[in-house]
Amino acid sequence: MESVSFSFDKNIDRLDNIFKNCDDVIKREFRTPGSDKRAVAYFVETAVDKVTLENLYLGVTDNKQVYTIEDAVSAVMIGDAVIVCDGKKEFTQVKSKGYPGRGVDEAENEQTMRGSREAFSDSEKSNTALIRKRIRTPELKVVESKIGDYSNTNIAIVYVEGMARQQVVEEIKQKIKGIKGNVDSVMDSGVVEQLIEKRTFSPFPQYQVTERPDIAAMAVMEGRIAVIVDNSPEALILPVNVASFFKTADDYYRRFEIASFTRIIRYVSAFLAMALPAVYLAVIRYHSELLPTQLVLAFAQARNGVPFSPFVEVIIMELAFELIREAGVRVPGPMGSTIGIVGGLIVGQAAVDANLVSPIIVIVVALTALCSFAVPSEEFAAAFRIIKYLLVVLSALWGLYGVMLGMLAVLIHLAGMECYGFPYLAPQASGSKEDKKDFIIRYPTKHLKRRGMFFRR
Amino acid sequence: MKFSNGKISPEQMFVMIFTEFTGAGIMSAPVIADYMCGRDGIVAMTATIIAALLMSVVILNYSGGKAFENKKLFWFLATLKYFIRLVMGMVLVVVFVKNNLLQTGNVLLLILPLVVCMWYGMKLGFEGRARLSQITFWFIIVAIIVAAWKSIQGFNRYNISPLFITHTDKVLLCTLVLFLVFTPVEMLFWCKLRVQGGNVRTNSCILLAILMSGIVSIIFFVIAKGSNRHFIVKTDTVPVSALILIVVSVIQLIVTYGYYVRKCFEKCVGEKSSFFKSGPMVKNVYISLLAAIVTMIVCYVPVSQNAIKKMQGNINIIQSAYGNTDSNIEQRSYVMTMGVDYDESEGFKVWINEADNTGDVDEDGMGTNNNSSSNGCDIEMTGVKCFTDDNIELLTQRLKTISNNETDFSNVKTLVFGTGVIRNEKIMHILIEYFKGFNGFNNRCYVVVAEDSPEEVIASSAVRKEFRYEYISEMLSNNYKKYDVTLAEMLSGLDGSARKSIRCMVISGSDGEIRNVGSCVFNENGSCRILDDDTDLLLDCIDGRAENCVITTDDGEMYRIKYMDNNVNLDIINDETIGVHINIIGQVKKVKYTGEEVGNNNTANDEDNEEMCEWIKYKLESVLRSMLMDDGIDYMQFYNRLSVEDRVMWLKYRGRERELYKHTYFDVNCDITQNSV
Repeated sequence: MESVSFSFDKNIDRLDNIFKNCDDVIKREFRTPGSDKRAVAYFVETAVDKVTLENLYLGVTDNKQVYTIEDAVSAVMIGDAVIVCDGKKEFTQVKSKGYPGRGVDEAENEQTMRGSREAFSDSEKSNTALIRKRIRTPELKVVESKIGDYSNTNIAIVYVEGMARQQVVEEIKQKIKGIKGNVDSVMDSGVVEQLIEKRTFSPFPQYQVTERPDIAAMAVMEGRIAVIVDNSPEALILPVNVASFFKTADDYYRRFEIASFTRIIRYVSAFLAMALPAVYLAVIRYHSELLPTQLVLAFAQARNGVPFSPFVEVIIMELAFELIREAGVRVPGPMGSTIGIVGGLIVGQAAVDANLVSPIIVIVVALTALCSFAVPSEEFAAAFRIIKYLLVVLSALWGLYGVMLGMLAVLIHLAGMECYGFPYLAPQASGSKEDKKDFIIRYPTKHLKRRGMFFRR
Repeated sequence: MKFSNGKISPEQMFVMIFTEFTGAGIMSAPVIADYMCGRDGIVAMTATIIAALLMSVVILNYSGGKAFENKKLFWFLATLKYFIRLVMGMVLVVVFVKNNLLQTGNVLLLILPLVVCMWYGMKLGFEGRARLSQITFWFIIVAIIVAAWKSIQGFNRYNISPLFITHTDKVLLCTLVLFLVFTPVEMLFWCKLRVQGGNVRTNSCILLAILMSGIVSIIFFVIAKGSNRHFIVKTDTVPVSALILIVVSVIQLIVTYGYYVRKCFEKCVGEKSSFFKSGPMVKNVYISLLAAIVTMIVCYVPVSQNAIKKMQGNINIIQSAYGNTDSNIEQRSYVMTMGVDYDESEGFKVWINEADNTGDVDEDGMGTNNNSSSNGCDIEMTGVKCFTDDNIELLTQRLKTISNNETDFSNVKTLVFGTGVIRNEKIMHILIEYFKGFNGFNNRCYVVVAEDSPEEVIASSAVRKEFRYEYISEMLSNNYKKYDVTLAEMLSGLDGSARKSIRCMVISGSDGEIRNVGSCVFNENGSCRILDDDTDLLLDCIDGRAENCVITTDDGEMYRIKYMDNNVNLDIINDETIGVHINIIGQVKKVKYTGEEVGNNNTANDEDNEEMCEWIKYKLESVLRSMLMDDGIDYMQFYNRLSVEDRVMWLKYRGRERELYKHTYFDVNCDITQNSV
């Protein structure tokens, strides 16, 4: 670390040299009020607003002392102003509002019928503030650090001391520490997620992602930990288990009957999103005796004239749907509905009319898609989307036996997964009776007396 | 929630032991027990559970697990046994799948992915396996309930009683075999060493798990025997695996109790034996896995031979039934009606009438253009096809060759037998053997007998209905009573295993109009007795099928019974007389000769009821006696009831039923309880 020199000119030369060709970094000379000494302020043009600048000249600013050149440069880079004064062996860092960013918007991906409409923004500071707004206690700890050799991205670990398991907190801190020096830049929480996850080759997410501060606050109150990365409008929540991905904020804001019912629907949907095409294929290819006669004949007639085998038909239609989904995400907002019409109606109907696919498979694929959308976590649903293809292949080979084998393999995989020491299949596996009160059936709030399953015991 | 620490909770251990033992137990223990001592297998199984519990109590309370820690030989044996049991379970699962789901599949190709799955599962470690068991526990419970529910419908208590008829030596031997195959020594110690929590609770969970898995196995045995279901896998793998497991278990027990022997030896001699030395556990696992794979290969040989036999058996018309086919759904032809007859000169004749699934797809593309009725949708038929050959296997080949599509028999609504088949005991037995070879025809269908050619019956209507009732109504010109049975039920009656007579409709078409002319009853030899009207009616009274029937007494009075329910009791009075008590509960009305009801208040009075009862008593006595005497048709299942209610007499006549029947008289009592409609 290079210390600040006593020589004003030497310091100026050093900083000028560092900020050479950085035209967005403004250098402004002025005289300090009162003592009338030479001073130079360095700041990024749009990161420091006019009020801060005026206060800077007037000397009424929120500031702290900086003793090294590196810290001074870092302060300028995060959006503060640094003042170099003649006759002082330290610099003054003037706090600013930082870089421009979005304000607090409404949640787009995790909409609820009741509850707060607020969503995280891109600023780590405001995001932690949104959590603090909901948990106003000094027990809520926000531990900040920086990652990314070049990006110097702020990352904050948010937890409630006394609730979160200290062992898990330390492990996360160590993992984040491990990232430092190994990655040049971190642009989003997704990068952090991939860098610190344990099972790299598992399709199942090992972190819950949320854009809602109330969900993050609830998770923190369960004894879990939120990781907030600057420039990312989502918080990572960990540890997780399968049940975490099926819960929504609505579950706790609405009556327990409807909350439990919708949860059951979600679990069933997740199963269907994974297994429906495979089961369809198995039944019509190997086990048609399971169907009522009328249905068998309807299926047989519907498939008459279709040139492809049911397996190819399923794969074609599933891939076509993935195409529509991908296109729908990429196209500009106003055109989104067009994609739905083109993909769903025109392509689907035309494919059936042209006898390329049977109408039954259109129903199966549409139902599968609907089911995948019913799973609240997109990351979790994506895992089912991948596994679906594996099950389809197994089903084509061995019918329902193949589907059962595939499901068994998935179960084995999930049984072997742990997230920071907590079983992924909890609370059904390794959970206590109390934990199961908020699993598939959510008990009335009055009955949920114990703290969350991740609470330190 | 439990934080990961390499230990499992007592509850996890409970489900782990339960799932691991119940899986193998359900599939193999009943087979061994049934094979060795028949229905007395239940005694052997119960004795095994008691012995296993006692052994577990002794080990858990007196050894504390210390005797086996780090003992190389013990762990090797434990691991080996675990893998062998695992392999046995896998082979059984695959054979089960092959017999029930994928008859065209290859055993080796089916078992390979399962082995991969199991290998993946073994990598989980103890905690992971416990978690997996917690999830699979509920699937197993659901599967057990479904299987039990499915089977219990055909349950007959006479099939599992009386007990204690097998020689004691056999029962004891069976108990020993079961005990050695399923000794849970290794599970006890694996679990015990890895369970966190109190010792008492842990022990309770272990004992409860052993008890529960034992009870479930016994329940399955009872259900399987009682319902004559063959869902329990019978394969040569079980004896082979059992033999290996017995050898391993014996050595394991010697080693287990050898610890105490060694201690005594050391006390006496004063030296430490070098025989038991600790060794790395991992090495044991791999050696055991290798040994288990060798076992699997040994087990595969009899299975593969079975598979070859089965594939040979597939070459017949019935074997291809039940949709076990890998062709696409539209490339199959769905047989709705099937008829079989036999003629000395022409051999076997088989008629099939298939659903026409090649019709135009209507506007919504989802079905045919046929009209739908409230009672079910009409199904267009392709027309009757006939195949003839001396040899039924060649016939099947011809059927497969001639038909463009693969024939699917899984939706057969009606099976029509010609009298040429049912009156020829030998031919009927040939057919029964073919029927037995597949899992099909468990769907409920109408099994009917055609007095003339089945072809006319099959071709009687071009349009068939979806529902069985509608279907047969259309086939017949009048609305007669129908005997809705599964072919499996009929077969169990015919082969005598259930000693149950089955009734079918008899349909005549000689005058050009298809109609129901009565019913018939099969005896256990496969031959058939066509019933006259009176006999038919009286047997309906016993069956409780006589709804809306009309009885004409010898005095010429006519009575109509409406909404009848009945209660039949059979008393074993002595070895010459059986008391039959029939209580008819329903509304009995007097009717005119034309069949119309007499007046408004025409409910039969006590005198009328008495007259009708007298007629039933008189007729039924002679009907039952003549059936037993002439055909050996045990319609009341008298012999089975005797086995339960009078064991001494049953043992006296055991295997000589016909001799008993010749000396038996029926003392019939009949009561009528008028019931408002």
